[in-house]
Amino acid sequence: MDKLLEIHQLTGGYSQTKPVLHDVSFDVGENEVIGLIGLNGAGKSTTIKHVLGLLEPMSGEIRLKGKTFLEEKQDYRQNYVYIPETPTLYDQLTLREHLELTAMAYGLDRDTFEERVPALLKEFRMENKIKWFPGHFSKGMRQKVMIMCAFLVQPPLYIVDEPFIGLDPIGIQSFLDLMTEMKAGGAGVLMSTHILSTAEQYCDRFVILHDGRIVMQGTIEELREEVGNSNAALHDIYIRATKGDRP
Amino acid sequence: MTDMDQMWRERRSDYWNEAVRYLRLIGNSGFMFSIYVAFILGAYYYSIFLDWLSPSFPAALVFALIMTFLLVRSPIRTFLKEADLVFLLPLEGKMEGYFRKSILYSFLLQSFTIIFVLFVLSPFYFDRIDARVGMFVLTIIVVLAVKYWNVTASWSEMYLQSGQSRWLSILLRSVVAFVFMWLLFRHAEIYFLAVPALAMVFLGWVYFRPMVQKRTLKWERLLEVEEGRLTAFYRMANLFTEVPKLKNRVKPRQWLSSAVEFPFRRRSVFTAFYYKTFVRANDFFGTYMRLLVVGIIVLLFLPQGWGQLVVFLLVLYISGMQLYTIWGHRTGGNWEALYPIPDGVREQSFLNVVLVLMLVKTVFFGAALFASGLDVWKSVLGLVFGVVLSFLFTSVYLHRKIKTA
Repeated sequence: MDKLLEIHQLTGGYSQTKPVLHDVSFDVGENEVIGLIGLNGAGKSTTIKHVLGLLEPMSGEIRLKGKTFLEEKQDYRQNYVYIPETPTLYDQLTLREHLELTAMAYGLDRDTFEERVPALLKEFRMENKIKWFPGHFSKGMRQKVMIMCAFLVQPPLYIVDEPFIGLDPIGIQSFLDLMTEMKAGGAGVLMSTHILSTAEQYCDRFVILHDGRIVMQGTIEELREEVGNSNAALHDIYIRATKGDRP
Repeated sequence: MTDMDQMWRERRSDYWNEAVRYLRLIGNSGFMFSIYVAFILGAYYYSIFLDWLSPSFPAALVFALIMTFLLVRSPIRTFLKEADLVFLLPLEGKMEGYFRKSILYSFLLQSFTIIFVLFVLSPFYFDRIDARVGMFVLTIIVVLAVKYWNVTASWSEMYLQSGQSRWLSILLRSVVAFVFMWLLFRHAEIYFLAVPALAMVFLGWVYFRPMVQKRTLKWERLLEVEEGRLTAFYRMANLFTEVPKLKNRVKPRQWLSSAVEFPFRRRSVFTAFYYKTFVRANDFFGTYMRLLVVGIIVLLFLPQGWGQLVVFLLVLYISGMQLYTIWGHRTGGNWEALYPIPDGVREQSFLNVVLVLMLVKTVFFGAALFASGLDVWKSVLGLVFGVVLSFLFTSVYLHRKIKTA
């Protein structure tokens, strides 16, 4: 299994004097879904911003397909898509125009675009809203637009920040199915979430962040072994890890 | 590929279409009249002020300080939107032209401000710095060149991550700009001017250029700056008309809200409503206080005479116009229209609130007139004029404005 994203001893944040992340190292391989979990303020979003290339590491490095962002800006950004926690859309563009814009930004040709779009619209039950403006969308629908844009591109890496809040159950299932499909096709996913039951089911490995440091990481079996309970749910492991009373 | 240049042009014209609509509203709000009067008064007092100013007044220093401020403050208008953080991020490598346009645009617009300020200050310049027009034009050209350097440096600062490093950079620019301007307005020899000029070239080479080359663009900072510029414009327009896009901030101001006790009865409902709207919403109160303080200061320091009375009535009138915008302030739907209250009560309550607020201001301004040492009878006359204006403004002018609106 090849490594897609490698984060090596990353220390970072907004201010040099007060780093948010300390010595964070983990990676995301092909055919792999990594769950990034932690309390509010643990450093999940900051980690994601570093991966996106919006923040610079104070020390350590991040490589996507072997290159850092500064080495290969254009390629680096073309190799991932990002689904933000809060969906942000252009008020003046319709659903279809958002999809077109994404396709153009990532250099998809028109044939590929026309081929992928109908299936996505059907999957997320948005066929009859193709000409709508975001002003008429609920939060869940906006979230669906962001998700469709991401799966339209089919890049090597998906960076997803809390996809489940606001989505209806069928939307969640569609998202999970597509994610599984992309994973089978060789993609990697880095997903931050609070919905632990779903994460336990769909993620291959977990990275548990607490106060900007990784307190545990590994497969669910490895985590169970670490806490010494072969039946522990991710939920219990997480509560223990973040309370600091690790056995 | 998306044509980024096209996108930039569209966004710029979208912004200007909106801006022009607001500017037109401001023009129609009676504000232009105040500007004319203020302009004529200003020109009159300007020449008096220049004569009065002592010859030892440090004119070069004042020019240098004003110019330094205008030079260093160089926010970049990028017309970016929040969604760009997702949709345009993969295109950063292709956005060089887009950002270059933004830099140039910011430079041109801010240059216009500098030229305007220098034009306003030109009588002062010719009186105290140099009487030659050619020298003045040359000065403008040099200032604009330094401005261009500052705008590009300000763009480089968009690559800095922490607030501290940005402040350090701004401090550095301030020092260079101030030294340059001070030498320029002191008419230092040309080789003295070469020192800050070389410092600029040097800093550009070893400090600002590497920023762009070795760091990543901070999109969130770009958005922050863009939003700041937009909000500043909306807030300015908001003084004259309701701006829906301005996120409304409400301040509790408990002490002011409870300062006035309203009788708990049907007829007081809108009086209480408008009073609380005035105190808490949309910075109505802040503007009222700013106009009050500025008015008092100007009245105290103007030479004694009829001019003071004109300023008194002018500021009172502007303040009244500003209070009128409370009428247009709508939040949470029009539920109050459903209240079982006779017609006209709402309007009357609103006009009463405005009247009282204008009378309060009249009292303060009247006191300022007395304190400035103006003849007692002229001060009393000012007070009477203020009261009459307040009544006419609310019961005739605003009454008609509300009916036709």
